[in-house]
Parts: sequence; structure tokens; C-alpha cells
Amino acid sequence: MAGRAFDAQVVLSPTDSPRGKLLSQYVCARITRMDDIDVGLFERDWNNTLYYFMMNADEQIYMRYGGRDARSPDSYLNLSSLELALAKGLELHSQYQRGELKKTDRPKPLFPREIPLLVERTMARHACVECHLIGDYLNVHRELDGKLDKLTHMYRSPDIRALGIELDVPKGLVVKEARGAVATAGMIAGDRIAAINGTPVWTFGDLQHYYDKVNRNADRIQMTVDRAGTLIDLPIALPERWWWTDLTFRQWTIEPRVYFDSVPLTDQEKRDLGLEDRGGFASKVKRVDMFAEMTKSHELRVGDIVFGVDGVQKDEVANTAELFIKLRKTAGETVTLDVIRDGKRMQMKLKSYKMSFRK
Amino acid sequence: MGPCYNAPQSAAQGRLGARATRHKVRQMRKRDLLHALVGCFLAAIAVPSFAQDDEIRWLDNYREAIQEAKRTQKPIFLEFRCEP
Repeated sequence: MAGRAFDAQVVLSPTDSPRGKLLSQYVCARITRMDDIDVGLFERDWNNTLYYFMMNADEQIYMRYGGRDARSPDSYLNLSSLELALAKGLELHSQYQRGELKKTDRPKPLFPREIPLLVERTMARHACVECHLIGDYLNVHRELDGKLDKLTHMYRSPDIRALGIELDVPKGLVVKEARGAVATAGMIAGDRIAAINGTPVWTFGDLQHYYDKVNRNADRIQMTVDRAGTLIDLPIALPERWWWTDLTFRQWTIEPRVYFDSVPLTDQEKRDLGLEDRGGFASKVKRVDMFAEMTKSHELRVGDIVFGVDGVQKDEVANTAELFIKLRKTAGETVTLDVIRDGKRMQMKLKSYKMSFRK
Repeated sequence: MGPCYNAPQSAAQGRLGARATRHKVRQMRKRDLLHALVGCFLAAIAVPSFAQDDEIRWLDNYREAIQEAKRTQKPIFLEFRCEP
């Protein structure tokens, strides 16, 4: 189970260990039921099954610890970086007690009992309010209310690797390797990421949380790094589709599951096939999931080129057919694909699948 | 294992001696019972103390954590663990 070993190591920290000595200076609480928790205050990416907050009795959050990526729930969980965070938390608490730390506004409260579908389908059945259900039902309500922004709400927690940041995980936010967009902006190995768009960050959990808050239409962010004690602001140009992440591990009811992956054709390849080049989302199927056959979703094959969905061939955001379906269609909807197979054009149906997880 | 007080009496023991022995045995039983009770009490308070010294105390109630933090002036380390 995700994070189980890490969780156990933290909970069973011996008091005479460095970690135990730090934890002994905190009131430690481990919450496994979300029923009465203010999920507005503790808002986060709800597909994390293990997450920590350092805070005070006034419910001011100093920092977060946790966060994951599509590769693994444990990518950023590390006992050394946790110790760094615990030490920093104590320092921030001292500052708060001395009145040196600015009080933050408390987010609007939201309790699980205020999410109607969560009450109806989970709480009323006395089932556990699992974290991912909170995120999913919030999105279902957004969709019903016409307020769902898939780029923001479905593609949560953009991957910092897409910016070229590889962290030295045991050292928290110290950069191990800088490539791509951040290297162009001047970030180098050994820098410690200190702030994003002016908001201080102390852990990967903080960084991921505030990076997730960046408007998906933004084309630039500012990161501040601590380089040998000097703070340096780095304006970073965001690459195209910087927000895109692999959704495979998530249980989103709002995500149309299409059971194939494709890679975008180059503009030249599109022209050679007589397709829309600029903005066209024609893409070549590279993998078909076995669920496609099991659910009779579609009959695509590896090598097929999908160049249209319901007669549409261009999109301002999507660069592949499956991304177009995920962004522009509703889960469970059936669409008509325009396909090129072995040089011949054809049409076929694709029924997207709606995830239903323990509901 | 504790001593056995139900051992058969020696046939050579006189009536007075037998009475004294029975009295001594009763005294020993009382003393041992007292020792046992004290031992149990000490064990009862000693074991949790040992556990508290060796392990971090984790609360499982958010409100209780807030109250404890107010009382102790300590920060809170709050873990959310979803266990589906």
C-alpha cells in the first residue's frame, strides 16, 4: 500500500533517534478518518494517501510534507527530508510565538458532510470517507454545476520534472539537476528552491501545492532559489502543456478513459497525409490497453493514426486525439473517430469509460 | 515462579510447632500477596512509562491535538493517512 513503510517508520520513531527527538517537540496526531475534518483548511491533491501538515493551535499551517508523482506514491517521501522539515517547522513555530511570522487567512471551511454526493454514496452507508473520494466528488459536483476546469481540477499536481527540475530528495528542495526550462532560466544544481511566485516553500509538498495553484493559462512563473545564502529570482518560461500529468493512478469519475495512448505526428507527417498541420491533433496509436477489448470501447490498433474526433481535427490545447477526448468530452460519451489504417481512411466508434470506484 | 506454601508438614513437628508453622505460612502468604500487589501496581505504572519514553505518543483526534497544542504551546505534526 502506498506509503505504508514510510508511515510505519514515522509513527514508530524511537524517541532517542534524531527524528524522535524532533517529533517529541510536536503534538503528534494521526488521522485516519476524514468525516469531521475541515477539508477546506487541509485542501490538497486528494490522491495522496499519506500527507502531513506542520501547524499550530491557531490552525495556521506552517508547511506541508508529502506529495507524489505519477511514477510512485513514494517518490518524494524520505526520512532525511522529513527531519529537515520537522526542524524547520519548529523554527517557524518559534517565529510565530514571537510574533515574527505573519498570520495567514484561514481558508473557507468545507466539511465532508457539505458534499452532497459524498454524503449520499459514502457517509450515509457508513463507509470510510476515503481521501480520493473527496477530490472526486468535488469534481463531480463541479461538472454538474458547469464549473469544472479539467486543466486545473483533473490535471492536478503538475510534474516539476516537466520544467527540468530533478530534486535531491533527501535534501528537500535542493536541486540535483536542472534541465530544460529551469536551466534556461539560470537554475543550477545545488540551488535550494525557496519560493514560487513569491510564496515561500520549505518542502516538496509545499512546492507541489503552490505550483498546482498556478493558472493553467500562465506562460511564466517565478521561482526564487537560495544559492549559497543569496536569494535569486528566476523567471521561468513554462513549456507547452506544462500542466499535463499521467492520470493513470487517479480515480477520476470525470475523466473519460479511452484505453489507448498516442504520440503526436510532426507537422511534416501531417502534411504528407494531407491533414491539418498547425493545431491539428492527429496522433499515432502507440499502445492499446487490454481494457479496450474487455469493455468493447474501440477497435483501434497500434500504428493507426487518429486525426479527427466527431469531425473536429484541431484544438488549441490538445496535441493528441486522446487528450482531445479527455479534455473536451464527458466520461461515458461515445464519439466517432477519423482513422487512417494502412493508408486507408475509415471511421470507428469509441465509447469512453466512466470510472466508478467503490461507489 | 513463587514459592510453594502447600508442602506437607513434617511428622516430627509438634502441635505447637505445627501451629507456629501455620501462622508463619499465613504471614508469608499475606506478605507475598502484598508483594504481588505492589509488584502488579509497579508493573502497571512502569510498563506504560517505558512505552511513553520509548515511543512517540500519537493522538487520533484532531480537536484533542489542538487542545493539547494550546496547553503545551507546541506545534502540531498532523498526519492524514487514508487506509482504503
